[in-house]
Amino acid sequence: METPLSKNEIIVAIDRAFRELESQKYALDQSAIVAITDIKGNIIYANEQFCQISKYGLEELLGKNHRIINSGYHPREFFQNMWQTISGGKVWKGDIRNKAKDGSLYWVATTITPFLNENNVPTMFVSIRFDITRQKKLESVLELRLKERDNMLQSLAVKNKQLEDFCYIISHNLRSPLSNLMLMLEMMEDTESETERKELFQKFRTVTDYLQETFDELVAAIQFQNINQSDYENIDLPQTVDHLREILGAEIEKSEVSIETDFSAYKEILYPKKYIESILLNLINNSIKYKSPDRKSKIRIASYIENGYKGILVEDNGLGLNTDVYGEKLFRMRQTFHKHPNARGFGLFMIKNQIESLGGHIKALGKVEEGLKVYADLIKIY
Amino acid sequence: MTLKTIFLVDDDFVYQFLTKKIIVEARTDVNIETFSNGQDAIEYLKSEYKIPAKLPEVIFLDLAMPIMDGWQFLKEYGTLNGKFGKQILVYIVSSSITPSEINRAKEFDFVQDYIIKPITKQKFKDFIQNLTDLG
Repeated sequence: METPLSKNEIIVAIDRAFRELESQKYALDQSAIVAITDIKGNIIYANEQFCQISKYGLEELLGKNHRIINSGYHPREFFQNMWQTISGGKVWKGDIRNKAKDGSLYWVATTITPFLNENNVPTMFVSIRFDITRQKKLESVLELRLKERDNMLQSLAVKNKQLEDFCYIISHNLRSPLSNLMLMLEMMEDTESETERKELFQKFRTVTDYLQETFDELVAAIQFQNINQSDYENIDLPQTVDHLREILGAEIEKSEVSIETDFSAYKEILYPKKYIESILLNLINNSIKYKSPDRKSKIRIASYIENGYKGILVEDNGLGLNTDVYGEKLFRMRQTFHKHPNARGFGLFMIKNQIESLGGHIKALGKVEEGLKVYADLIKIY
Repeated sequence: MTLKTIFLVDDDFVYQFLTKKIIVEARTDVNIETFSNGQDAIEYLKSEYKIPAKLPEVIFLDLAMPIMDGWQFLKEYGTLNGKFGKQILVYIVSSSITPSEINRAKEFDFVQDYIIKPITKQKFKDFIQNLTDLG
């Protein structure tokens, strides 16, 4: 059994404990922002660091509610959750943005510890905070940079795809008539027969006409890509469709197509007028061109907002095609899919260029004999 | 192998005309059938694959074609290959000099070679020589 401490020994022990506490408090005050509030959140203690960062004098803080430094940045639920935690006697940790007396904002990594009485009921709250404003700034700069990088990568991917498409055009649409011309020249040089030479010469025109047409279309597709801010205007979609209905009047009448519209998602869009007209005109034209002989043709034009894009859907009940098989190719230059005398494979290629140059996408969904749905995601809105 | 029939699968009529001319000048004994897209050619092969007399010894296949292009043709052809009553040699004949397309063609083991357009007299001569070497 231990011998009980003498009175003197007890005083020495208590004195030592007090001094240890003093030293710990001193160490804490040197490194952290410390405040103590009552259970209502009124400040009953704030250390030097608290005053420095909040730019309030101690006398201005004492007795005031802690809300004095609330920056209004966090949602109500954020503080509700904090109060629930500490009122329940538990420790709360989190990053808080506060507002100093001069209006400047600062971020603090915060730990709030409730002091409990003998019945485990909180009697005061001690908050210990560290200034993380610099880290938060770096974080947001980093986030911004990452976002910029993502956007850049995305636009590079589009550019790369366009280059690939261009390479394809050169390889197939331009190089193949050229190879015909080369061969014809060689054959003309080789032959002794005047009739054969004449026959070959006649073919020259066919090929050069084709080459010229391809060039003209290419130039038209590329010229369209120079769009200025001033080309954008508020487009009224119902009005635009009515206008196109007039332009296509004869075609529509002849093919007995009915055009239905649904602009309930939105009616107006900020877009270059010549593009929107070209896009709608080409899609409507395609739906008319590839209508089914077995059904009364219907075209439905609708606006939509999906995946952060404002878009336009043009849907028909025409011949359709299997987009699982043809998918991307639908939008290639001179790619045609039906044995139609006027199929030229230029319209979709051109509007794809137009839409992509303004940061949008176009895709088609369909099955044979079940019509085609073309979704044009025009502009990103969020 | 005796070369009797060549299938030209290509949508370009001028190419068809010129290539026929080149082939006939070199080999008057060869019969040429033309198809303007992959679909027409594959449908023919699907219906006649059991009858050797109706099949070609050689197919000259273009890549960029409407309705069914060369790549889709090759995919469909792959499922038929082996069922034919005779050996058929498939050659890609394309204007494309893009390495990615040339490499992609090598992925089909039944594709003999990739010939870059145009098929000149000399190229056709080389091709015939090659056939003889193949035995």
